[in-house]
Amino acid sequence: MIKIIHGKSKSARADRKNEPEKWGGYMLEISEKIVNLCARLLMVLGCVAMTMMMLHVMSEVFLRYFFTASIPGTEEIVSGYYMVAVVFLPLGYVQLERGHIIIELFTLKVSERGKAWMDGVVLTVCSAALAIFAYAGFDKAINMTIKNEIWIGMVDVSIWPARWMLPVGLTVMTLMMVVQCIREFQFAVTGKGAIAHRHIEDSERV
Amino acid sequence: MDLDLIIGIGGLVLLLVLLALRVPIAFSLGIVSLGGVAVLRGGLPAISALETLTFNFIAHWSLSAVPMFLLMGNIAYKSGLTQSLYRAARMWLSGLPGGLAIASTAACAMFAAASGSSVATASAMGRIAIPEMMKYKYDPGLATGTVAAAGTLGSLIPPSILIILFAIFTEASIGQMLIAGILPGILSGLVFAAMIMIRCKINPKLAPKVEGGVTLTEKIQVLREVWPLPVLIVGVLGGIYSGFFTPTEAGAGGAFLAFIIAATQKRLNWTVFKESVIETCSATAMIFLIAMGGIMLTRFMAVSGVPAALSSALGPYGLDPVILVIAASVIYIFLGMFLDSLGLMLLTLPVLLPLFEASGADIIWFGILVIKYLEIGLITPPVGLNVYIIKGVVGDSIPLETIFKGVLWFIVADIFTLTLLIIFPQISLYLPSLMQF
Repeated sequence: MIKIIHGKSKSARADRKNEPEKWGGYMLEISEKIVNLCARLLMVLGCVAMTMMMLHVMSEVFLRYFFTASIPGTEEIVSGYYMVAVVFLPLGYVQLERGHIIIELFTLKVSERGKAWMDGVVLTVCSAALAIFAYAGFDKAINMTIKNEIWIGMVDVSIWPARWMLPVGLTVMTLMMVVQCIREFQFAVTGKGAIAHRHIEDSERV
Repeated sequence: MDLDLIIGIGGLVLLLVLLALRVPIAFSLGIVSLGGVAVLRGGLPAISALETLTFNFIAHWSLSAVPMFLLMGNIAYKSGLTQSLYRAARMWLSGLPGGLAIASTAACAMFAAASGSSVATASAMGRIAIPEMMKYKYDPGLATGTVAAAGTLGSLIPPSILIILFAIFTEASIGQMLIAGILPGILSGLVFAAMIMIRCKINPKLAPKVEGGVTLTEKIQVLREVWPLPVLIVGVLGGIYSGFFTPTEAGAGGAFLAFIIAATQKRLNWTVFKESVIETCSATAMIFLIAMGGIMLTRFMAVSGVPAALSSALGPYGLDPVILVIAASVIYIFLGMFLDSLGLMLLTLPVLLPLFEASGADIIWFGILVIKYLEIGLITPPVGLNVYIIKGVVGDSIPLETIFKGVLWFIVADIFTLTLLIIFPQISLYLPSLMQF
């Protein structure tokens, strides 16, 4: 991918003066929009899972102490579904906001374009690694779907659908990184074009 | 030296290099570990371990305490419940020497009890407390240093995300670990307050007296406004302590009740709800991606045999808990200058934990010390994250050096607290030892 961008940048550098934002043409812009939309959509699902987790656990506690009853399968659903949803589905959105922590101390003196070069390479490597992770998740999900994976607790809970959230969340994050990677290289080469803000919401950190 | 070991140590070095080159922490941990396991055990087993380890780690009941406590803290903060804490602390404590600084410390400690994060505590309290202290002509170093340092109480005073993750990684009881943080957290706060008082007594110019007395009626009035949050916190901790709730249940209940309190005080609306949930979701995904990297590193370290080699290299010294703890403090305080706390904890535990387990010392005690080290790392230069947060809050009005100078006193106070915690393990272990399960 880096090579293609390079080749294009050298030949097209002259004509891009007028329209610096259009690197990669409308195709890239549209893919960017689609990936962003997917990331936001998954984030909404993650938020729904978060709210459900709170309500589900609360109801379980309430029933247990006041009616000595319980909702069968709570533990399996909370850990197998809500947790997986809350962790894997928002990953693309967090990448969109550049919320994954990096150490900036050693590169404070590097110019903005220099940082864009570094981040472009970093994103290339990371998206490759993430693609392997997503593939591993996909492979497992197919396997578990065929086997009809079930967790046996007080009641049997089918877990195989939850396995699919892993490859879905990771794939969207991978695509997000690929799009951002192209934008970083665009900025690195041309010094123009929008780069997503690099700041991290401080309250998101531990 | 055998090849596995060289690969293991080489991996750790590469990890630090990647971190310096702007590779996100989660990816630095994950890529090095995946590569390492692939070299040592072959590509397919490595990839299969990747999916199995991470899914099994995430799909875990006790882990869900993390998002629930994050949610509780976010609601309390976004709905403004925590802001009134400072007002209350101020009314009650401003008569003391350095009263506003002590009030800030107390408000940070209370905020920490609603929030699991040190950085969130510093950032939220900084916005409220620092302008107030500056208004009364407090020394800028003291004003900023107080909040930067007292903000670190967030990791020790439960609920603490770092403590929960530590407990999960070491397979210690989450409930006991959380409760163990209470006394060391309060002790740290008291030592800060004592240090502030002594300094202001010796040099009253640091903190001019606040004019205008507050009547008892006003003091009681403010309590009427802030009582629900402390009561909620005591309920959550009491529930965990008595074994009435699991930490997950306590977190879910706490979050739910925080919603209710916010609603009854007419502070809840759609924006508050939406922002709290989105922020919690982002933070959860971000934290657990790093934790998954940590899980992979644990596997890589175990396969490469680095911890075992380190243990045998230390020989009989490696079996003395106190020597181990002091050695660990050197490692943490050095690396803490450059790394963020969660990354640092997950980077070091796979190597240090086997050593510590072999020495037979109490893992809860070790955990509290590790958290304390990480807290000190949050305020030591050059990467004292909390100091930068405070710098972000105050803008150009106070230079970074002034904040670091102000924080220096608090680092001394923290080293004093740390020494107490090492000499008297009972401070950390007394409360958990009373728990029934």
